[in-house]
Formats: sequence, structure tokens, C-alpha cells
Amino acid sequence: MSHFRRGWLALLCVLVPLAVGAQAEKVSNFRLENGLDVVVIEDHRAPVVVHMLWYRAGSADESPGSSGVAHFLEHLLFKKTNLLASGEFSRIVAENGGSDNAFTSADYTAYFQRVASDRLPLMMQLEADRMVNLQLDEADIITERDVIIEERNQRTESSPGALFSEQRMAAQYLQHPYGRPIIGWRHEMEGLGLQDALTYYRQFYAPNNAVLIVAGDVDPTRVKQLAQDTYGKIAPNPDLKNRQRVKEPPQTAARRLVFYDQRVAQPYVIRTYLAPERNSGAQRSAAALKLLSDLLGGGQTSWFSQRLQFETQTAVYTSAFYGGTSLDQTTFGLVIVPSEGVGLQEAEAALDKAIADFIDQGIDIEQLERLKKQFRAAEIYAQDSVQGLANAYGRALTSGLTLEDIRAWPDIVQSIQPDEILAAAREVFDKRKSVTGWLLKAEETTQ
Amino acid sequence: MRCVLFFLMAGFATLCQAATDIQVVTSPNGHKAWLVEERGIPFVALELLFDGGASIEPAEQRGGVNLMMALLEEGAANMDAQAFTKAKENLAASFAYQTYPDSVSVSARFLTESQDQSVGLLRQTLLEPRFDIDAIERVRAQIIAGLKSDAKDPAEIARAAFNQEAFGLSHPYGSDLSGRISTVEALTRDHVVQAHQNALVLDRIRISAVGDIGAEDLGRLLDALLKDIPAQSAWPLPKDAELALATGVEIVPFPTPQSVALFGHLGLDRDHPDFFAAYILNHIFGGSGFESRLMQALREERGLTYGVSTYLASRKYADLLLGQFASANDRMAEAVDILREEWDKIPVMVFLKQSCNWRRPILQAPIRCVLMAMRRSLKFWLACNNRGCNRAICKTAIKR
Repeated sequence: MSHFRRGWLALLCVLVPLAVGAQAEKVSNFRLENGLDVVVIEDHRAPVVVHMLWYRAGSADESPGSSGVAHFLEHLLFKKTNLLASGEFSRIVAENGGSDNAFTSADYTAYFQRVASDRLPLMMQLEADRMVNLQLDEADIITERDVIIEERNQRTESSPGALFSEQRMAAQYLQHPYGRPIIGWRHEMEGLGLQDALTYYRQFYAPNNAVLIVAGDVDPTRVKQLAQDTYGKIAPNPDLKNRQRVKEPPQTAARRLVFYDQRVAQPYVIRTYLAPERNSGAQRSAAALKLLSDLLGGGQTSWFSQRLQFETQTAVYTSAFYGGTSLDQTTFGLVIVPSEGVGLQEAEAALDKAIADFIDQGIDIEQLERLKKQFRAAEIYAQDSVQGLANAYGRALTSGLTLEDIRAWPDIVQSIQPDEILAAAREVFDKRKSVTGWLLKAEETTQ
Repeated sequence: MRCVLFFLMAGFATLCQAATDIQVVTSPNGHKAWLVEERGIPFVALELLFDGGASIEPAEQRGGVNLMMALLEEGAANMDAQAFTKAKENLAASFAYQTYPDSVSVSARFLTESQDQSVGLLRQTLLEPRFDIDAIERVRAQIIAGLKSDAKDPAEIARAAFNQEAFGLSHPYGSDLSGRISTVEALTRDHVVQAHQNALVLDRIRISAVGDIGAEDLGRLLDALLKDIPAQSAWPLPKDAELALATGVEIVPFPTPQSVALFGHLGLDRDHPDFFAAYILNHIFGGSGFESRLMQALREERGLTYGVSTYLASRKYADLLLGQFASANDRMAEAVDILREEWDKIPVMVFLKQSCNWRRPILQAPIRCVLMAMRRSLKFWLACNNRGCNRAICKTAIKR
């Protein structure tokens, strides 16, 4: 059902950052006087353009007590504006042969259209309009709130794994808003109203808090002219503050949870550790962690796969994940799905032993070289998807990184040495900074 | 054909003029392929599709073709699974092997700089897969784990129930192509070898390639890749399925807060003269995007669901129109009612004038005609909470 797309929640933490940077010569950028950052990615293979507007505001920018409002507002941006009736935005895009959607994450909210490139001026006019001209009424609020609650039902309440993940994240972050679900806690979603949405809108939707990405068959000079004629007419928000979220206190004790649900078919263990993210001008430790996650959990030849699925049949599936593109402190995660007859205790112990052995035995240099080669190839393959490139730039630029950081990233990854990866592993695998969760089928008696 | 549709729907000529140039290539050994030459990025995407897929296997070996395809990346020639994966990673190539009801596919992507080695490695997986016993057991356990998860997933539960009633267990469409746990457990290495010999054969192949390669090079590549692949299959293609859908609502009890509704009835063959009329009709009624009538009625106006869509499931041996949505248990009955109301409006609607604001009153008659034919039976399958929505939905069903 993932094709019901408005209101995608970007599942950031399991996505490997897309390799971009190799085709930097086709990427240009400028800033309008009102502070709007614009990036143009040229690709003239087809007469098509992807127009994306990213706000540097997501669920982690919400006020306490109104969780879910960033995503709720994203839905409401398709309602009435000064220029358009409710629902007209998507209708116009469709009538012009295009498709449109939007998604919300912890650090950003993004809106996009994919359309024939000669329709770009219309898209810019419409998107600029709803940046500041939304005209919401109570009826919109009530119906759309039902929609987001059904969305939560579909994504979260229907999935034991999603409910479990929500509890794990809440346990991982005591104070930082990454501990709140992007879609919102159900009881807070039910109370979201017009004022909550408008407060968030007026605070964060402004040209000086947005990044425009135009990717496809376009001329940068023309894009600049169009941007000035549309977005350029909107005044910046002078009250925009720096993105300072509440700081997470140091974690000094391992946290554990056990989640029971009758619908669980396959029990598993997930452990996450607090981990540094990519920071502007300082991306080496994140690059080392990215390679560490691939070495440990990236497919058949990975350390976990060899140890836990091939040499022993402890697990049917293992993985490691790291969400490096993040504004604030992120997590490094491990997953083990045990084989039939293997308990979670035994599986977790095997995972711990595999980590200890990995640090003990050092990096397999050939494996590291293969990974680096694949990473280089991924840059070539990535050029095939203009929308993928636009996504990668948008995510990075709304997560505290600059174009220079994006361009530097591939070379930084290539330059990482084995001892840096081991140092990163020793640093990150600190049980005191971990949350270990077990997902289990409920005992009949507990229901 | 997509180009024609765009033209009708949005009135642009520009997209058609810029349409992709598709070459038809015949290799020296007679393999036919479609090629789009695109020199901008130094790699090639190659797609091999073999008709038949999971529908040709004997019923008692259900899941055999799926298991076999999953094993093609688990070792070939003198390489075990690990050695093969290392070789593939060294080339930074990617090979994907997929099983569908009507076909199996091999999707390869490789860099220009290592094209020959990549094609050589791909050939080994097609011609000399090892099917090692330990790999069979590892993959079998993964497939069974997936089947157990499906048994707890409302959408999968509804789909399985729908397919079983629509097609019966005598036609392969009536059961999951991954097999049942009992049939997967019973599969032997011999079964896997049989599936390999019969599913990947040259007289059922279709080939396309896109990227940094010309017609002559592609011809040579295909001859090298496909030499010695069996010419024919001993497993015949299936017969058309007989649809056995009776109008009504079936409920599969499953304790979860949100129910999934799957609904459908007869569809149209792709070669039917009204297929494109039906395609446009479906787009208006429940196709992708927010503009469809169902999205407007269920989501935009009433907030009953996060998403609803319908599609023409025109398979090789049966044609259906299918749709799906999910609603909280206490709202499902209302959602089903609204959906039926929208369905009933279809035959009397003059879509092209009233609904869509299109300037060309074309295709109107075929749409009406298609609709009359399509209305015959509408069947709902619901996987839902026994306590939540049963009674209301049964009432809905009785009303019909």
C-alpha cells in the first residue's frame, strides 16, 4: 500500500545515504535575497523535471504535546490557499500530466512534483503560493485528522514491528525529540487542531527556512529567473531561530525492553546505540560508521552473515544499519532474526560474540576494498535517477550539511582506513549507550 | 502505448515527439531484444523475462520455481554462495532473480568497464547454478519465515483467501507462488533442478537492454550469455483460469485494530479492444493519485482511509479488476457502503464531460460498454477483527 503516497514518512534510519557528488559539474546553486537556497541538477536525457521544496523543519521541531503536527500540516498543504481551492493543487498537477506528493521526517518536510519540464513555471507558482497563503478551516482539519489516524493505523497499529520500533526509539532518546514518532503519538494526534497546524506553519514555512531543488531538463539561468519571479516575492521570516533542539543527557546505563504482540510471526532482537551523525566539515567518523555497518551487515559476505547464517545456522537474517544523514545524534543498529529453535537470548549472545570477534580480528582488507568499489559504482548508478539525486541533496541540505560536504563525502568514504573503522566500532559499541529490544509473540495468558 | 495514453489524457504532443527510441535487435544466433541506447552513463541494465514463471510447476511442487530462482545467487560453477557474492561485489554488478505468477525475471546491472566479466558471471548463474544442500536449507528457512509472517498480515490473509476462492486450488493462481509451508518443506534438490531446466528456456524468453551499449555489441553479448540454455520446457504453460467469484462479502477473522478490504471482479484482457477505455476508466475511478473518485469519496471527503486504489490485474490466464484499502474496524462498514455507492455510479456517469474537464469527448461509448460488462459481480474479502466489524458488514452484505 506504499503507493498511497501523500504523507510518506521517510524511514531514514534504514536508508544508506545515496552516494552523490561525482557529477558535481552538473549541479549549480544560488541563494535568493529572501534566503531561499536553490540547487539545480541538470539531466537532459528526457524532457522532465522534478521540482522539490524542502523545509528545514520536521517532527523533531514540533513543540512538546503536539507530536504529529509537522506531518499533519504536510497533509493540510493540499487544502485551500489564496489561489487554489481545497484539492486543486493535485488536480492541476494531474491535469498537466504530472504526479505530486510530499513526505515528512524528523528533520525535514518536503513537497515535490514530477512533470514535463515546460510546466515548471506553473509548479513554482503553485508551490510558492502555499508556502505562505494557506487558508485552512475547521472542516479540513477534522476530515484530514481522520486520514492521519487511519495512516497511523495502517503504518503503526497494524504492525507489531512498527509499534516495537516506536517504543525502542522512545527508550533511546530520553529528552531529544527523535524519541517521538514522526506520525505522532495517537493521543496527541487526536487532539491536533487548527491552531497547532497554523502555529507550526507560521513558524517554519518561509523562504529563509527552505531549500528548492530543481532536477531534470532545465537551464539554471532560467530556473533562477523563475525562482525570483515566484518564491522571490515572499518575505523572509525575521523571527526564524536556529535549530537548537533539547540536548540528550549522556546515556550511562543500558536500556532493555521486551515487546509482546499476538500478531508476531517471527521474533527478533534489535539493538541500537547512540552514534555520531555526519557533521558539516567533520564527516570522517560518520564515513567510518557507514563502512562499519556495511562490513558487519551488508549482505551475504558481511561479517554477521558469515558468522551467524553460514558458519553457524543461528539466524535466518541479520543486518546492521546506520542513519548518518541526520541533524542531531543518530543511532547505529543491529538486527538478528533467529533460526527456528534458537531463542532470543541465544541469538543476542551470538550477536555479542560476533561483535567482540570482529573487533578482535580486525578488518578484512579485501572486503573493505570491495565495499569501496561498490560505493564508487553506486555513484555511477545513482546518476540514472534524477529524483534519487534530488532526494539525496535535499536530505543532506536539510540535515545540517552543505553542498561542499555532499561533494566531499565520496572521497572521504574512499579515504577511510581500517584502523578508523575499528576505532569507530570500539567507540560506538558501548553497551551503556544501547537499547536492546526483544519482539516476541504474546503468551496466550497475557492477553 | 504509454505515449498514446499521455497524449489522450493531457494533450501534450511534446512527450511523444521526445519518446524513447527503441531498437529491435536480432543477435547472430537469432535472439531478439529491445534496446534503448543511452550513452550518458557508463552502465547497462539488462532484463531477461521467461514466460511461465511459477504457474508451470506441478501442484505438489508448489514453491519450487520460487525456491530455484532464489538459489541462483547462492553459488555457481566452482563458486559457493560466498565466493560468488565476492566475485559479483568485485565487479560492482547487481543481479536480481524474481519469480512472478506468469514469469521469472533476471535483472542485471553492470558497469561498462567490467561488462564482459559481469556477463560471464551472470551466465554461470543461469547455466551452472550449484544448488548446494546447505544453500537450499538456508533459503528454504527464509521462505518459510516469510510464509509465517504472511499468515499474520491482514493484507496477505485477504489476498490468499481471495485468490483461493477466485481461482480454486486447481489453478496455480489460486495459491501463493512461494508455496505452502508443507509443500516448501517437501521440496528436494531434484525438484529444484527440474524447475531450473523447465523455467529458464529460450523459446519463452523476452529480452530488453538499456544503457551504454550498441546493437551489435548487444547481439554478441546475448549470444555469449545464452549459449547452451535449454531451448524448450517439458512443463506446459497453464490454461486460462475459470473465475469462481460470487458476489458478496467474505470475512476472515483476525484480531487487529484496522481491517483490510480487498475487492474485485472480472477485468479485461490487454488485447481486448476496450482495454484502454477500461484503463482510463480505472484511472478515473480508483487509479493512482488523489484525483480518483474513490480517493475523493473515501479519503478526501470522509477521512475513512489513508488510501484506496483499484487496478486492472490483467494476467496472462485471467483478467481481474482489483482494489484495496484499510479502515479502522468501526469504520469499515461505512467505507464498504461508500465504495459500493461509487461503484454503482459508474455506468451512468459521463466521465469525460462532467468529471474530468477533458476537452475531447472521445471514448465515451466504449467506456459505457465496458462498464456494463464489468459490473457483473463485485466481491469483497475482508481481513478484520472479529469483534469489531463483522455485524455491520454482514448487514451491508445482506442489503445487496
